[in-house]
Amino acid sequence: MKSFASLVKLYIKSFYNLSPFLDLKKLKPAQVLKNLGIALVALLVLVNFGFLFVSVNLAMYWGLAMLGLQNLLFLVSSLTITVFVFVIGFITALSTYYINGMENHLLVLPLAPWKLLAAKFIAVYSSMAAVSMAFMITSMAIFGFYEGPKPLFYLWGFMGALLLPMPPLALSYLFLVPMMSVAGFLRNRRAVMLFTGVLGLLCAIGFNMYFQSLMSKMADTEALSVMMQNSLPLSIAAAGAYFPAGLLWKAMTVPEQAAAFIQSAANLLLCLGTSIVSIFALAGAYTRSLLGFNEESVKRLSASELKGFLGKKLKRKPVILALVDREIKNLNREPVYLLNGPFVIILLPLIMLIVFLAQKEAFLADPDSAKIIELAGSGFAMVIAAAAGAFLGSGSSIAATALSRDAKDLASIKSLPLDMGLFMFAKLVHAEIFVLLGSIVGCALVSLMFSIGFADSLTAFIMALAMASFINLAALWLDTARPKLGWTNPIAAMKQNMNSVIAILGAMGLLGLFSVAAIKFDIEKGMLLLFFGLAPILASLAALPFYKKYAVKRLAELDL
Amino acid sequence: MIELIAVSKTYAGSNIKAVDGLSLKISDGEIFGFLGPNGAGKTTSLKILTGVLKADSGQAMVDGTDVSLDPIAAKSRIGYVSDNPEAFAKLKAVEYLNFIADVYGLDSEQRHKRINDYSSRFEIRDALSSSLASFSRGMKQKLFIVASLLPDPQNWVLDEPMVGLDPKAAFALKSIMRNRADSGKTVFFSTHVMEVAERLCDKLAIINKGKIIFIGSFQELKKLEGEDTSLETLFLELTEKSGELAGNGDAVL
Repeated sequence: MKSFASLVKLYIKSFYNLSPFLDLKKLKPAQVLKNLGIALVALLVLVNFGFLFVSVNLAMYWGLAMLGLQNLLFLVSSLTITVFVFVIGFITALSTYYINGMENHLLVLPLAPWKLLAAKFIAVYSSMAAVSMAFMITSMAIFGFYEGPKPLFYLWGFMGALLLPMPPLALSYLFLVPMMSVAGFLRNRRAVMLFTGVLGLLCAIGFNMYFQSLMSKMADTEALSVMMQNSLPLSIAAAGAYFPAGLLWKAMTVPEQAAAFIQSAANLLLCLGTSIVSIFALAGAYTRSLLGFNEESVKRLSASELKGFLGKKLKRKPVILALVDREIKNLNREPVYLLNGPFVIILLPLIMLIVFLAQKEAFLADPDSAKIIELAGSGFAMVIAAAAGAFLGSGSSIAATALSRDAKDLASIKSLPLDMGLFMFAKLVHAEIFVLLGSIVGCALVSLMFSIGFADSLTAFIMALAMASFINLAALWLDTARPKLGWTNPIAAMKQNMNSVIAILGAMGLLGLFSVAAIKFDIEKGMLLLFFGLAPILASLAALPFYKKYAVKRLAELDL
Repeated sequence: MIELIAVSKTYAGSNIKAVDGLSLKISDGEIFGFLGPNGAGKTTSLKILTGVLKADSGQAMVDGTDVSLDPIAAKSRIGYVSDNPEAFAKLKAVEYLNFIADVYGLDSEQRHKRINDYSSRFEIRDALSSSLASFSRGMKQKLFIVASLLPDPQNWVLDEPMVGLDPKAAFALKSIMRNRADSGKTVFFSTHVMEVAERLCDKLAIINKGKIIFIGSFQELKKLEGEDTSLETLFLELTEKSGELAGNGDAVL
């Protein structure tokens, strides 16, 4: 069993990258500061999720209380957790099915197949259990505050929160293992990343729609109760079909009766049993599906094909174009980069559109909205358009992760007779392409929303372009100064890169200041263009030679 | 011509010198082998020479140009095969070669001719449409060798070039090395394959713990340590001896 425990530990460490936090004795002051920053961001995320969980639970409680059915809160909570874990658990299980070749090394070790699958199951389960526990604690706290239940109620709730994620996760593997065994095209890291990325985005949009529709009814308890009443038959039918949710609900409704003990014990057996049986049943197929994962075959061209192919491909380009072309290919061919970078330009407006459509009535009915619409008519809409364009333009994280993403190529690049200033300039040009796209999308959407005229839209676009370019240069400077080069998984270079978080937070702060200043001081259009259009462009142009000098020096000093 | 003059390097976060006052000179027309145990400082020295790393002190000169003072001029006279098989994994083989040709400013005719010629010699021409990620270690090594030859460099620097090569490719590589040296160009490579160093090198250097412990021809080494001995035996004796001396705090040879 020692090998199993080590395997679980190894997976958990690989999944969550906890080593910098765990080796506290080895930490240097800079690392402590960095960890504090990460902890702060994590706290922000937690607070966000906390707000989400509290809002959802409150809405559900109020809706049900209006009907006198508040005891059903735990049924709805259990089902929500189950659906959430099934969706997120499926995505997590898929994205961690094969971790950067680690499995190739594990497959040659004398490890029983069940150990490989069980250890991975536990690693995925640990995060799902944390989410389930957080949601259930929120439900229990709200119910406890209003209803004051007996202490055993909490015990069954905690136990249920730990047990509930098991069956949906087992179900995820029941889908995944046969799917991976049959669909050869999916046994490829890139395909998995693309598939999970798209699935994740769809889920994020779906959850957002659900949350927004719930939030739009928060102020109207009657609407909430109608909504809950409409969904009750489905919930009760689901509880009848899905025993763990039904058993937990019943145990929490009568926590001190003997039946609650029996129901909780039955739940324990059912959830644990399902997981253990699934693991043992799937272990062999799972191990076999890992063989040859991520293998790519070399394509050989015939002599006649080669002639045309080489003739078409081998063409001379100016060095700057060759460098930009390389940047674009490197980013576009890594799904992690593509989905977490440029795709934001499409995703963010989509989410905002959902929020707007879901909350449209509540927004228009709100007296504060009338003031916003009035302000928009007086030129404020142009400021919003500029801020939205600048945020989208600088939000792709391309500049903030430019050097970090190049960690594997950097030593080879440095050995070439290349002007390192030009090399970094190509990265800036690449980022600027998305500054342009983001500025166009952001400004066009807001212009359409508030029916802004062409001249004002153009002014907003120029300001967006100027501010986003300035932010981009600052982000590139940040990543040049502190690149994240020691990674094995590209997720670390993009998604887990603090530079990207700092750049986004910095952009939000700067654009917030811009909006407040523009409204507070009622700056006229010409002055706005001067301060937020011309000034950032001039500042960026003035900073460029200094950045180039810095980048050349910094790259020369990097130990690779 | 390549020259390293009293080069030293300590990596950030380490208190051990990876390279310690290293000096060597490689003349035009010479094949120079760089030998040493793992972690001896071979790759660090080559990286300093090619501008990948900055030396703490000393000079790295390529055809009379200091790499740290005029890196572009110095590097444009070098073709380098690194020991990093993970580089450029997102590109297709042909895209990688085209990129290198663009960086060195090769015109279309030159790149066509050289890519066709060298990729045929290393038998990867028909695989040029594939991604580097799909290449085996040996195929990547062949591709990196082809790329390093595209600018027809005066100085060819190779870090462990034999790794992963099949016998035919290894033979092709050795004959290209010899031909280039015979035409007055410099070949500087690190290796662990003693037979290759013994048969191919005009001159060699043995490095241990960041310091040169021998520099000269194989014949000179034999004279110094005793006749009728293989390079492998001499290498083992020398590195062991220098390790003991360094451990005692004495100077090495």
